[in-house]
Amino acid sequence: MNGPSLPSLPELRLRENQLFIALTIVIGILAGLSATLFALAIERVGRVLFGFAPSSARLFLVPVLFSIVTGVLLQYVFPGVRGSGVPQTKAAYHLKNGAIPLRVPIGKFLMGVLCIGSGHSMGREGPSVQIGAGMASAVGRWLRLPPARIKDLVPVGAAGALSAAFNTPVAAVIFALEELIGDMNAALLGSTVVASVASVVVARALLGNEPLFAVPTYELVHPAEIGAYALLGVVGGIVSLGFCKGLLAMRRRFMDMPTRTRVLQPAMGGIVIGAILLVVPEVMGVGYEYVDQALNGGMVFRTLLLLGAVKLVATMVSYASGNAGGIFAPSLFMGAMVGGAVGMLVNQFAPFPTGAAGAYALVGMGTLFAGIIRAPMTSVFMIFEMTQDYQIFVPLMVANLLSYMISRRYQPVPVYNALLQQDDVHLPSAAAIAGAKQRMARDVMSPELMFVPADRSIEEVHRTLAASQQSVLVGTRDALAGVVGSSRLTEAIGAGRAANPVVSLVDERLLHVHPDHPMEVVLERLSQSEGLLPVVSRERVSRVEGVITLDHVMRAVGGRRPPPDPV
Amino acid sequence: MADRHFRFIHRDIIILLALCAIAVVVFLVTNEAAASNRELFLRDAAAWYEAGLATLDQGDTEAAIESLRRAAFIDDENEEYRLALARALAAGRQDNLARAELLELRELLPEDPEINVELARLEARGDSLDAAVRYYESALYGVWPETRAEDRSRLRVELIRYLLDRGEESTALAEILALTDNMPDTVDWQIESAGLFMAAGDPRRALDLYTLAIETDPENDDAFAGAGRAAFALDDFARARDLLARVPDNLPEVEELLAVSDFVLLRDPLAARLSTEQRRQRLIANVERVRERLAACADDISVSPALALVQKEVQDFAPLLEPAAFRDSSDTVETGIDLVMRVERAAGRVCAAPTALDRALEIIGRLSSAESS
Repeated sequence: MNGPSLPSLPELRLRENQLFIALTIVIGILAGLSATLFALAIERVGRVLFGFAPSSARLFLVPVLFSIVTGVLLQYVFPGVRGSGVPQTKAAYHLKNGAIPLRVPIGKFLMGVLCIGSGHSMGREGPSVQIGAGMASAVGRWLRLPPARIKDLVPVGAAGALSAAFNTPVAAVIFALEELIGDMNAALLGSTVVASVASVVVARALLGNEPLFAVPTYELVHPAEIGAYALLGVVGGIVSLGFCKGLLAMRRRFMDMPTRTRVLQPAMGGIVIGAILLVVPEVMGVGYEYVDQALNGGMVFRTLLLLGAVKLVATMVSYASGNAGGIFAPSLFMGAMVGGAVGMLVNQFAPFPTGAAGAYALVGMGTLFAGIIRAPMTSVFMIFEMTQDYQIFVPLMVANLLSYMISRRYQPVPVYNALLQQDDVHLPSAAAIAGAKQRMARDVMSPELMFVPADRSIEEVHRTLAASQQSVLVGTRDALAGVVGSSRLTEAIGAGRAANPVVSLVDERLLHVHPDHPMEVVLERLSQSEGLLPVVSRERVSRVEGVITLDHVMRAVGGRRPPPDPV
Repeated sequence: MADRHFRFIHRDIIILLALCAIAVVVFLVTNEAAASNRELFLRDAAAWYEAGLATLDQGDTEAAIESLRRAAFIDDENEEYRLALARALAAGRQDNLARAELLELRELLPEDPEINVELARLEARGDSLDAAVRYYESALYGVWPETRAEDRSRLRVELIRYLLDRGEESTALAEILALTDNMPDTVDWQIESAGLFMAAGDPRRALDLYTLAIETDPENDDAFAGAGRAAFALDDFARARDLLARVPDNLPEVEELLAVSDFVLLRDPLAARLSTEQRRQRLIANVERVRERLAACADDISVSPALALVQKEVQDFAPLLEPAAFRDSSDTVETGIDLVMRVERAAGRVCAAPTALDRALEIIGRLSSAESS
């Protein structure tokens, strides 16, 4: 008797792929729903907390009191959900195979609603990305998908969430490729498109198909106006740079405070925000109402400058003090204000016919987005989709490119990556991602390690150092202090510092590579080292995963794995 | 191996179905939340709208704009809010913003009278005659509910007054004719449109309409006053006197016109059915009046060559009024009337304001020259 015939393996794989596509649709829908619900919850909480027309006392007390509550929750219940969520999502994608604990999207939702709803000058889109990605990761784990598939679901969830948050399906796909994956040619294009479309359909079914901002049609009035938009690009680049540097410096200040103050830091930010709201309540929360006003030319020059400057400071304070919320919306807000102000100056002084100031506000939004977020293509498509105005495409590209170049020239590390670096996490560079298939540091390194304790004397270390050995690691596997070479040890003994601890010879800046660095980088850094190059984790730079010497490289090139290290 | 994949896919399908069920539940929850938020924020928008209108009434334009802007932002599909915002912006002299808002609304509702009217008023204020007329026309030929027919006529009156202010009488006349075809059939409207005909320089049609109004309401003082003025403008002084005599005494302008009409009828030497002597007497009285007027203005004669000239002419004319000379000359009456008119005109520029008699004498001169030419 013949039983039902089982499908062949290729057929099953085909069906698995089809299931994955179905899964991306479901995740897109869930991400869209979560982003929509998140936005609705923020609106509602803000309305409940501040009322119809808030009094001064309410404007001050709401951010202060709620930041005390969120400070405790962020410290003890949801420790991984401070800030935007985009850097954490990038880290999860690149370093953890897309693993995001379920607590993260849940915490992000709650904390984001409370922080932004209580008046902090932050955006809802970054958190939406983390919520969508976190949810996708949780679903992947629930389905017991292989790690590679879970990793693939992260940008899918992120694209879905961003698509619904901004009502910009194309920009969401580009963002997922450009910013999260770091590869515009990624194989996940199809999945992100599917999720993005599914998400935006759901969001539009719930909220309608209106663009985020109602903008009159603008056009390039005179060819010379391109020069004016280029000027806006330069100004936008400088403001973006100022924002990034200021945000990172202020966050560093907060991080340098004693650890016990960490629970109170959001409240410190809350006090500053409360004080700001007393004078300039317009910078509260997301602030799209005022962006709309600037886009429609409804603000005078002084108001534009004031709101742009105060928003910049307020966002830095809100973010740096450790509240949950993003910088997408603030960068659009600041961009609209800066663009509007530049537009008014151009209107006044340009010797050629010019477009309305609102057109410059529109381009300004994209300009600051490109300068701060460092995703120029996303920026162009996002502004296009938000406004559904094709006329402004060329000036937008010119201004975006200039802003992006200026920002990149003077702040080489993008702000999201820099924020992660402050948390001791090093994301792979674009080159590292692109060269992921080449031979990498992890293929060459030796996992056998020998350390000398940091407090051992220079003389002792010099004595124990084998004759053949040029350098040695100082510290432990989980707390590397640095590398010391024999010549430096000899020099120090000669200078009468033989009794000093060996850590005193360690360079402040540790020369290292990460496991995914290509050989090109390994060789370059090895040539700068004292013969021993530590390979450290991206997730924690002080953790050593291996070492590379010239001998290891030679053996690897010769096609053999290096033997256990003699040290 | 294949069996493992098969089980794996079956499990996946079940979980996918569970996820779909979760998605449906979350959709319903989100939909409910969206509806609830919308309801709340629509209430807020209505409250901002009311607050905006109230502050606008109090004259606080800036606060009104702020409130109405919020209302329009929250409920951007509500044309009423956006129109109110545009009105507030216009009241706050932010014409460009008001225009932008209105043009955007007009794209949505091109035939909406309110939007077109606001645009017309903006353009009228900005001195763009063509654009203003275009928007007024768009408003007039837009979609009006039947209950607002009178508002439509009132709008046409606004357009007519604007055209008259800008000296566009012929265009205004065309609009007045359109108004009379479509306006409500009431005495008030007849009087209003007759007044517009008068302002546009068409007293004949004005008189017809006033007459119509009098027939409908024989006690209407405004109709009699208007008809009297129209008859006066048509130089029908007998009819003007009859009509103006029906108007109560408390209107100074009517009294003045009545007096002038009376004088024209009583002092015209060329009036019908007068004997030669009666004509001579009237002319003597008229010349005597201008002589008195010149005497009262003696101080000014030295500085006005024109007055000095006509004074000499008056002195030279006196012999011609003697009975014999008057009988022998056939054109003494016309010459005298013309002289009197020229004295009145010259004196009118320099001396005291003319009396009703002086105005009448000038009119008599004008009528005489018109007749002879």
